[in-house]
Amino acid sequence: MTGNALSTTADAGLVKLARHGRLEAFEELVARHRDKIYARAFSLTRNEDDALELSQTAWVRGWQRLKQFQGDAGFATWMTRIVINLCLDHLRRQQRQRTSSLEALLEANDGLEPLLPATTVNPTEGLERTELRRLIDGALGRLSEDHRTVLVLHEFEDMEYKDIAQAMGCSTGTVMSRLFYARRKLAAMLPDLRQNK
Amino acid sequence: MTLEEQLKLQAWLDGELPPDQAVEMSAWVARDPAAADLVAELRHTRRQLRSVEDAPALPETREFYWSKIERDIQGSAARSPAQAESGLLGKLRLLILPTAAAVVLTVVIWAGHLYPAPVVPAKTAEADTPAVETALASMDATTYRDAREGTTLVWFTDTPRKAPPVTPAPGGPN
Amino acid sequence: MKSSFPCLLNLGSTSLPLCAAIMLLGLGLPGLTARAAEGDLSLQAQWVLGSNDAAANGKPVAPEIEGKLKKLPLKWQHYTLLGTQSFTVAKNDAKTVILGAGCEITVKNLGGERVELTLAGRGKITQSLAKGQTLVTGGNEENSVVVLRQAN
Repeated sequence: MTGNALSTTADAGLVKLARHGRLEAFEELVARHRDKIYARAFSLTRNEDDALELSQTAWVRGWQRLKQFQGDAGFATWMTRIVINLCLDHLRRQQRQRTSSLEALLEANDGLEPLLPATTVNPTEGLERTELRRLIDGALGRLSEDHRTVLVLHEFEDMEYKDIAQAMGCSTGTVMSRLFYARRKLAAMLPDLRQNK
Repeated sequence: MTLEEQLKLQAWLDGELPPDQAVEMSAWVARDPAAADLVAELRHTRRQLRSVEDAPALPETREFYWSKIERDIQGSAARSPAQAESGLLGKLRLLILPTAAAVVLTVVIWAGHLYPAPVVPAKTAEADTPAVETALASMDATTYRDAREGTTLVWFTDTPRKAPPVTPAPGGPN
Repeated sequence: MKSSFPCLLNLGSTSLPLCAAIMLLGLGLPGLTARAAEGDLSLQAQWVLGSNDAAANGKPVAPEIEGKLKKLPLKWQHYTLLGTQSFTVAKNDAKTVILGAGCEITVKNLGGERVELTLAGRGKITQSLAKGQTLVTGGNEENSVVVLRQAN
């Protein structure tokens, strides 16, 4: 099958070809979904080099495990799960190497800030999309890994609490409190989204 | 409002509460201004997050990005262990390997050197995906596989029907 | 490494034929032994406690096992051994093993290096377990795992 034919073949067809050893079919899958996989890795690690390496490792794992892909979820979803597991493993290794700071200790114990009053939302104040993305990106980068991970998995991957808990190796309660903390901290860090009372 | 109440509000917003509790929370949000404010804030934050495209561009060309993946795939294919052999060849291997080891041992001992026999590592097979049955309908299980290490983790979730966590006795185990 | 072969007492050329004869006999034995054990699985099960306390008491697990456990998405940094059992299960047979108070497993040998591991109160796992492969299982609300693999 020529390169042109591959580019018009659906994912399921490419997976079938790749399972028979057709590396060029897998290359087409990579080209098709690499941005999404890289984006997920970057959103979790917040490091370009790590995201690059982890996303490439995810693709290699995907090739090795192709026969395990059942097809019940989309191929991109399946690959996303692989890169998420790799990123979580990477973050866990990094956490072990890092010395504890007071902030890390507090966050590890879900040391929540005093209960904040709700911020008042001003829905009529719009922000230009790129500016909003820049603000949110900056705010996400300032969250701890655990809080950002929960937020990314819930908001961008639509994972349920129990699935996040399983992926992160913690309890559902911990997921809930981390998610709550992350959301409220994000709201507090985005001044254009609120109006002080 | 306690933290527990706030977390419950969040769970209601995320659709994680059972139906009866969700109905209770709806009623509470309708009559309590503080609860309504918090829900509005959480909802708005969620909307803002989801409105932003989560797609930083890959900072490499297609060819360069793929070249490393291709290299790793071909490298791992060269290193991967052989599939488990079954049938006649597998049975023969059961005879051949220990026989070969005995021959090597003979030569080494006859030479008068009491070196340990070289170990011929058994070729390992890839494990398949495990089939899991849970003890209770309310239980669930997650599987994680580390192909490089040859390790499979099966993690059961839900409260088991047995004793609470163990504290080892002083002095260590068996 | 010691050897029980008498020909070692004299490694002169006259003893070589004796050595060879004994070795030739010996060549047959591994085959015979293998045929008798064919289908049997020699397994090792370990009950391992996980914690994040570096000062936790107890015997640490072997470095090889610790390395594997640390690469899994478990939340613990340190692992200590609570109990270990080595046992053999004949093909199509099952064996119940108590690794310690509150930890009982049943392992069934399904043949072809496939096992069915039942963790009391949790569930049943069926998969292949070739040499070099490791099966780790545990669950929420507990701070321990069971590690099963073929014995060396």
